[in-house]
Amino acid sequence: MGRQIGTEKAEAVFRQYADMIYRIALHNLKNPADADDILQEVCLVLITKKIPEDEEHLKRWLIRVTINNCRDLSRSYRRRRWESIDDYGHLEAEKPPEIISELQSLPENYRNIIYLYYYEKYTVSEIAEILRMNVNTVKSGLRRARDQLKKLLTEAE
Amino acid sequence: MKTNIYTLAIGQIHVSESAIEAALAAAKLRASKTASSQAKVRYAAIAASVVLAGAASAAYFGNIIKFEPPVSPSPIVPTVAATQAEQPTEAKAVHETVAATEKHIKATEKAQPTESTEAPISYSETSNTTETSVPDKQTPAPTNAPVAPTAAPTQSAADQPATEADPLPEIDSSQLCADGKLFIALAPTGLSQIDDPEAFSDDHLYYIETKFGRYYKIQPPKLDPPIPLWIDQPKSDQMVYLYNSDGEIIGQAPIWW
Repeated sequence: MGRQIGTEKAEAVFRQYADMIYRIALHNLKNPADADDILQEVCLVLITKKIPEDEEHLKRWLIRVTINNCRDLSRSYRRRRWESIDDYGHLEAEKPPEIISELQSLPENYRNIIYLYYYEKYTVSEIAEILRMNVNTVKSGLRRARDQLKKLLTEAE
Repeated sequence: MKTNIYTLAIGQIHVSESAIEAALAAAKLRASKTASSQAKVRYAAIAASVVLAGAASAAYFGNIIKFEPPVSPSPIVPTVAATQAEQPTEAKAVHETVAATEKHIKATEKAQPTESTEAPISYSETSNTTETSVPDKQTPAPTNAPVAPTAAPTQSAADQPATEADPLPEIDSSQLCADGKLFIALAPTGLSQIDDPEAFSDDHLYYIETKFGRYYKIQPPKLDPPIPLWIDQPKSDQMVYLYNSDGEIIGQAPIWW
């Protein structure tokens, strides 16, 4: 499906997409430290695995790898046994923008759909392909996510 | 949906340069560990060389290659040389203390004659303090001494030192070097024969075997300077033996912890 690109090229690709990987990880895991871990995991995949050759395919593949790694981490024992960060809110240094916090209260799939649709500007069918979901599921997910976000933002105001 | 607010907010999220560098460094390190065995061993050797800075011969790693068992592992008796009469029947290694190891190395270097009929190295399991005796037959051959292959050892299996059937106690991890690798130096104190390029030919592969059946292939042409090797998860053993691919012992060396 692709080729191994070597450490140098992998590093360049990683730098190019680091922000995107981090944003997706933050959307999914709600925790900057976990997002950092995902950065490392995805970087390792870039270095060690065969990757798609064309740019657009590569980007979609990276999104997929990032989301999968986030799911793996979410399910991992290591993460489950952690204490909730909410208990240490008073120590929290930096909060994400309010809308991001609101978005993070949405279900995982909604978060990814919203991100891919509004920020990465993918179409519904492209999102369906990336997330391996039915197009109609993406459409309904997008609608529900909008509604929920709207509600959350209205309540916040 | 306040799209603009969302995209603006998302756009403000950037990963820090330090996080990128940290991720890259960690991923490269992990990648090096999951690469080929050769790279893995090299990595371990280099990492551990820091730990062992100052140890003899620790600077040369060009010979380290993937270790594989020979195609047909030889039933060679792992006696160290044809000149040695006996091997210990109770060569049960015990946890060596650093002091005991130093003592062993010093003794090997000095090659003080002791009881000549004893095994090259024997360890007492009767106390926590390991006693080491190094008889004169254990004395390494002079640097220019010819290699003395022991292609046809005559000892019976019963005369062999402890084997896999006689499991040894685990080595105290505090005695291991970085990454659990064991450092052995085949020279200068232990195996002067190996320094002799004449002992090797290019059309053979050479292996090192510990007493307990682990084989490590080495590359023959680069024998100068002396060969340091890393052995993964070593057994508690005091000697390693160098075989050629015909199954002949062409050298021996004490292990340095």
